[in-house]
Amino acid sequence: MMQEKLDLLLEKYDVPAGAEMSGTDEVIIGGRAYPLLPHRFERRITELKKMLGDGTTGRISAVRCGHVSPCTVPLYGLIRREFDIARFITGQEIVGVTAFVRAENGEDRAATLIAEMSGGAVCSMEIADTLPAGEGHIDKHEVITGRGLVCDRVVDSQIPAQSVYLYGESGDEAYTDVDYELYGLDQDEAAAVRCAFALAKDEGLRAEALSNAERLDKLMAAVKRSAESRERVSVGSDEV
Amino acid sequence: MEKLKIAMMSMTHGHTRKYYQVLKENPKLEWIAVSTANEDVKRIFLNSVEGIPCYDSDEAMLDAHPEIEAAVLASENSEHLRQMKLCAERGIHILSMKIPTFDMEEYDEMIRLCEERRVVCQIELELHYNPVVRRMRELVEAGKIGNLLSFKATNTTLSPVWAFPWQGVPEKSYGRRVPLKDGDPRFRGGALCDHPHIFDLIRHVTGSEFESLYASAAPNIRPDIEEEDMLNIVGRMKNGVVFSLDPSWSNMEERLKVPGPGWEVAPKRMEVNLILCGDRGTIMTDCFGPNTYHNGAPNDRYTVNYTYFDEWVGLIDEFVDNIRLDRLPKINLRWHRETVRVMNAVYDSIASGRVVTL
Repeated sequence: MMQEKLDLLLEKYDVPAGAEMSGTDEVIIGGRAYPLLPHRFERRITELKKMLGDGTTGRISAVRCGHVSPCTVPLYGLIRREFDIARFITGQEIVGVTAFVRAENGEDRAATLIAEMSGGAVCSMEIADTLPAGEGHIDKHEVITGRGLVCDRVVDSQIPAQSVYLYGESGDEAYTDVDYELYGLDQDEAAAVRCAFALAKDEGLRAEALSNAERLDKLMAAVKRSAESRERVSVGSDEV
Repeated sequence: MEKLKIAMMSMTHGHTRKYYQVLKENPKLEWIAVSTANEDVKRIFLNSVEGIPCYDSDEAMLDAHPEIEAAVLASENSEHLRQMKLCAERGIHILSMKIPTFDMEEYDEMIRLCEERRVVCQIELELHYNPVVRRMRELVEAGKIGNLLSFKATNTTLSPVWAFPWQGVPEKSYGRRVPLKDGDPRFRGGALCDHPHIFDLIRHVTGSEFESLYASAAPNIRPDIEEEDMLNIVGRMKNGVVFSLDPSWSNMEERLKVPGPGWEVAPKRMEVNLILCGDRGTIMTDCFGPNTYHNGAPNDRYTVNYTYFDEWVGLIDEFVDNIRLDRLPKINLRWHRETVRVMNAVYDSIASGRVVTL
């Protein structure tokens, strides 16, 4: 269904580049694979970025990212995503990483991290894949600045709100539908299609996607080194 | 499909700026020109959009651009009939704001004009292109909550009268100056006129029509405007569903002349929440949520920053298809007539203090 929706957008907006999706991780354009960073196309994330950049807030002090996922999602994929969200919304690069990782039965399941950023902001993260399979993701992003905070969760809440709650005889259901053109896709799928569409439209974004992926690879290597060494790892551009 | 050559008129309606992006980006459209009703809206438009010719009168624009095929009537309610005549006479298709008119004779004239001239007239009720509403309707239609027993809806907003002054003038909003009720200094034309959506939505969701209603206007929270700003309606549909509707301007605002950051005093500008109770379940819906939040500039107040708001994309897609494929709009003049008639009955109930049977 994602491919169908992507084709719909390509045709509607007259984008000549063909694009093929094989999931939410990458898109093939012109025979080359480009990594998708779908969270950059989630509306709540783009709105956070906008508010941090348009004068609504002051100098960024701290970024708080929390993400607990179902146990079927790899822990390091979550960390990678949260790192990139922090980079994307603040416009700052991560230059130092300190990570504590807890394994269970040989598998890394939970991590706490501090990421220091190029503009001086400090980002704290708590990441785990400890929810039962089939549960929805629970995440929250909050940025504290010298003039107010921005957050993608309502004050006093730790869990995501949904737009539709159904309490029925066959159990409870909840839905968040965010995109009328891509109706039928869940939030992650819709964001992935929007991301693939943007890459198909814009060659510059494709180069940026490759560059971001390379940087994230370095940051993830730093996470593992920090967890193993129990030391802070600097990630300057010439060090990794 | 050939691009639809479209124009906008007046630019005084609160939804005007919603069209800027979609008219520029939708590849099915070619935005030809606009006409502005006064210098204030002209200045705002010219500061917001570049490259679109702007005229001081509707006639001047239409005379200069005979290629125009369709027009968005982004005007006060009192201008709609005049503009519909202008368009229909020239065979120009019409996208009308949410209230064509409250005068039922005028309304019937609009129907006649559009049908005689065979122009499409679509009413802008954007909730139909909201993905949350679509989900809610699918769940109801799938029988997830069984037989619907009750329908509660809020459609509350801030008051737009400071930015869009015509909405505070009974003659321009309601069409004439009609006292709200004996002994009440207020007039028809306020919050109710701004919020037809939930009166329309309940008809779609229930597949039924209004049987009876009772409405009561609460004291204004803005004592210096001359129309109602707070009201509630309860009643029953012909199929037995009972309802409660709140179309108030209950979300207090800063009195900005141009909408922008800091408009909110209440944390949220606008809310459409629906609670549908059936004999096998309940659905609770926030049509414009979840969102993002801040307490930064300009007023350092806790504020809801809307995240999902692209109803105009689907609305314009349907409008173009209706014209090119000769389809009847989902929200056409004849369908919408009953919604407007019911809204008039709300005012009648407030005036009489009694239940009105429709």
